[in-house]
Amino acid sequence: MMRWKEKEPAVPAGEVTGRVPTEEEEFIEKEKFEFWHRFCENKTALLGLVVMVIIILMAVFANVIADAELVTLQDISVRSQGPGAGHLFGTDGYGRDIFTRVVFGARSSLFIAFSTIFISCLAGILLGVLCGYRGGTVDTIVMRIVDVFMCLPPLLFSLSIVAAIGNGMGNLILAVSITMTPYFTRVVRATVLSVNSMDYIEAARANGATDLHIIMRHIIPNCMGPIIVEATISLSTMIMIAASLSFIGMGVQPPTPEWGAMLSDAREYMRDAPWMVLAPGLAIVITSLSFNLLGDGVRDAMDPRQKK
Amino acid sequence: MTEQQTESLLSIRNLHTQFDTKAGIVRAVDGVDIEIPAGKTVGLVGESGCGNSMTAMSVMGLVSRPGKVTEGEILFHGEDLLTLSAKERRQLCGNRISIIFQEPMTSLNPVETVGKQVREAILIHNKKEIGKEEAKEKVLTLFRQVGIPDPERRFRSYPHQLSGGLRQRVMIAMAMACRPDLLIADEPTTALDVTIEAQILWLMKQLQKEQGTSILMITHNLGVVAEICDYVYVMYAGQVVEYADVHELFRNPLHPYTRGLIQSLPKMQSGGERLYNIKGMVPDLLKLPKGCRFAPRCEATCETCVAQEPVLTDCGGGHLVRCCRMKEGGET
Repeated sequence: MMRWKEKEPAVPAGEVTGRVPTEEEEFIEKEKFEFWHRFCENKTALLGLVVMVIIILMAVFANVIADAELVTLQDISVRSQGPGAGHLFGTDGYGRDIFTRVVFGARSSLFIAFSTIFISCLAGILLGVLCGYRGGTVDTIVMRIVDVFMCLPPLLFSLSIVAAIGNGMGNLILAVSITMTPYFTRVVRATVLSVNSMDYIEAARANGATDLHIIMRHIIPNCMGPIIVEATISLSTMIMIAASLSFIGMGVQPPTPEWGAMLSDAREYMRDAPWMVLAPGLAIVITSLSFNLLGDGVRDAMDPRQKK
Repeated sequence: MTEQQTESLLSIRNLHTQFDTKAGIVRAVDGVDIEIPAGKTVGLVGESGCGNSMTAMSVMGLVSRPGKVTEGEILFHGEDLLTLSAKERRQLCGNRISIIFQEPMTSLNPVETVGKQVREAILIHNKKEIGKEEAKEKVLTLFRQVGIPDPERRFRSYPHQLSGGLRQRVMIAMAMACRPDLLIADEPTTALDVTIEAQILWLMKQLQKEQGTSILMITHNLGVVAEICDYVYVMYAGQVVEYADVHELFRNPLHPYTRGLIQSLPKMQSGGERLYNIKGMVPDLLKLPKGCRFAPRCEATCETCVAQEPVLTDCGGGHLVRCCRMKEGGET
């Protein structure tokens, strides 16, 4: 063990580490697509993804699938017609084509869902990083406020915000975003705490990196996994809240087609014309179900504890 | 020691690092003096919890919250690091002073390619002078220097695609990126297997020869010390207990703790005997024994050991020992 003479290692540095590339490259390829493979193994999650893609395509190409003019066109002569050749899903109490309204309704529902995800994610990351990275008094204060917000049922909380600031799509998005932010804040803070104790954060600090640099380059990228999972799972909750608020008239205002609002309009005719509730109701169910399945699939595929 | 002071690159004087815990004040580093001459390798040896890593963290300014440097000076090129502002300190860290951590597995960001991470280390300190392309060229040169095969491909590799030895090479490349004057290596080879350890040590020696960097090598492996260090400090319970140049230390270890450490190494000629070990554990820093901190584990305790705390004394030729059985100028 104790050698006084300078002694070079038997094998010069650099030669041992050159590996056979084929095997290693295979390994890399496998690692790269591992998430996708594990996701595909889960058939229900795959179904969720397919349905979600169809719904998104439907929203994007709404004016190709249906005629935009028919959305608000009221034709009393054909009011309350059952599903048939002229009107695929029938017509509502004002004689508007339900199929067209469901297709265009996907636009408002998805727009609300994705913009609330975006806003609450952003706010959650901001607050979560602030709390997790700074710690101390700021952390305590913000997390206690978050605790209070999380005590309130999400629907009731967004309802009271909309009631306070007035209804309409913009306010609805704001309200749902505020409601969902605490959930993101919590997830982000927890992840930041675990990432912050990693050696590479210390190494970055030892390299003379500023706090902002560490947060942007090291902390946030390493928190993205749990954030993506939380976002996909919350998508269906957001669609439900948005539809519920519109249902009680606090959300999207007529004549803009929105599934919740359509459901609410059709309520009076439910016994005589069940197709009026069936179409938007099924749309809500299918959409939130597919988002839920997708969210569960993403979570399962990302959870390292379930790696085989 | 006095004749070195003028040419020292880093001198740590009377450093105290404390942790304020609920149970009391833990003095992790308790009055440590260390001199690192330019271009030399200094070893800092001790078991886990003896304060050797904490000394390095104090130099880098990485002591985290309940902990604090409470007293002392850390002179780098004659300038006290402890009086610098956070910004001035950041400009030194990674630029003039770098550190290599023990765990190459967790010291790299898993979601970014290693090439980008090393490039970042260069760009942090030279953003104005160097463009991205030029920095990439530099990274590839560094990769070649530290013996990473196929640097172009490795630049785009993620940490999990590399072996432990390669990752430690990347860490060394990152630490050497700005050609630092001082490289602190905190047990750089502990997580690696023995063949890779030899390669990494050889590489560090090689880089030191080329660039004249000083190295502070923190380790508990005396084999590593014998391989690469010029001077050795032995730490115990937050204090330096022995200092000598490496030949003197192994030829004539004076402190019983150092002797114990050397004795507990496996030897070539010993066949079948039980390996020596120092009895007991490093004392709880909250409940330090009276007198000599090593006394409870020492094989040669006497009354004076328990009665008074020994001071660091010169036993001739700059060989310093903290043991009350050693008298000024030689052994009793």
